[in-house]
Amino acid sequence: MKYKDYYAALGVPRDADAEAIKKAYRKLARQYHPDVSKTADTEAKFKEIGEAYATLKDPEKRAAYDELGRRPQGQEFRPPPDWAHEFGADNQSFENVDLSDLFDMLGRRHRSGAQRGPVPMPGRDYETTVRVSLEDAHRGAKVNLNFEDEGGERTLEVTIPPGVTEGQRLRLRGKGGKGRNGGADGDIYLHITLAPHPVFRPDNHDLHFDLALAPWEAALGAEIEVPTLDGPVLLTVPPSTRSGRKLRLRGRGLSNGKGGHGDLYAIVHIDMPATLTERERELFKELAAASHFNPRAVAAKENAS
Amino acid sequence: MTAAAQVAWLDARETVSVTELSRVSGLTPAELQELVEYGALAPVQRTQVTATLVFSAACVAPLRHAVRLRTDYDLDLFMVGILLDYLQRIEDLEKQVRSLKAQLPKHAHAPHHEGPEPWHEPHG
Repeated sequence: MKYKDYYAALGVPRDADAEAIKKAYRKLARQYHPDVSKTADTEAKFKEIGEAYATLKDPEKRAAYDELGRRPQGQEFRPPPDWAHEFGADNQSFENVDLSDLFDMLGRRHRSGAQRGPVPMPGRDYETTVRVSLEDAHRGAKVNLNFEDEGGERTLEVTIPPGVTEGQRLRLRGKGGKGRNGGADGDIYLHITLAPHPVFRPDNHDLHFDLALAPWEAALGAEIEVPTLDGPVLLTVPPSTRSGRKLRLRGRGLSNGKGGHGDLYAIVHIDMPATLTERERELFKELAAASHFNPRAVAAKENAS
Repeated sequence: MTAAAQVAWLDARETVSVTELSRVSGLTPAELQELVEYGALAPVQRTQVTATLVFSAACVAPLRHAVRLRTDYDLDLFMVGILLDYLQRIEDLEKQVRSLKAQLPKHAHAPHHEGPEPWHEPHG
């Protein structure tokens, strides 16, 4: 087992009182918290001070730690023989045990009031963010996740069920680190984010997309082939469709994983040719002369979206 | 166990018992009870048979986050309740922003959704 200098990690003298240790820790925690600081060594540093504080704030653990004496950081050492007895481990197995796990165990034993003997240690939980495409969210997918484990890098294939949405949290039971001494296996927590899609914008299980119409399509109505995640379908644009109107295709949105589907919304906007041909100009002029339509009149609101 | 049975959806469509929530959050049932008393955690129902508390699975992620911050900054349980409230509000607001963004057309001229109403002639 490698010795770690917990006092040095917090930058406090070995005779610091509880209040000084707490203060030193909080100051460092603010500085190195992964939510605040994103530099490369932050995470390791934060883990180091957290581990140091977890032991030094607890009088019992601190006394046990002090019992180990003062050693150089990283020095290999064997815990006192009675420790092995205390934790029900033989000296052999201490070699692969991290010092922090030992103090963890001490705390757990204390809380549970367990007798001497092997202490059940639950496996580690893992949390990770997974970015999936809309198509994968819709149909489900297998993704490979990489984890840093006690035994190094580990790749795990996990199945994302159909129906996940942006921000969805999933818990994969028992897929985390293995428990020891009869402790339960850990879990994996997945935080799903969706990769931006070139066409669709998801809102929960509904999808929105922009549908461009020519003025005459909006005026006369049209049958238009529009994309869905399951292939193109025909959308009926009713006559006199205004810009901004939402046309709903029921059940053509994302699968919700429980047998249902969200809806698909086409948001209409009316586009114009960048330049008109001579003939188009003539026709529009003719239309302008023939029509009494005034879009700025209060009454012209039948086609509310 | 099937693959589907191992996947728990941590959203309002599923529930967790107080025992399960205790396991996943690392808080004791007594601490969870205290959060309920503070009003920070709201049980969805009491099961008839055992009268134990049942919670929406949507609280699992923010609760784990709040508990992690408790450890990280050495906070007390009352603070966990406060954090839980804020974390859930942030999540709700993010959801609303995403929803509004999805409904907003991409093209620049989007007067139907924000800003002043289109101008109409008073006597058109």
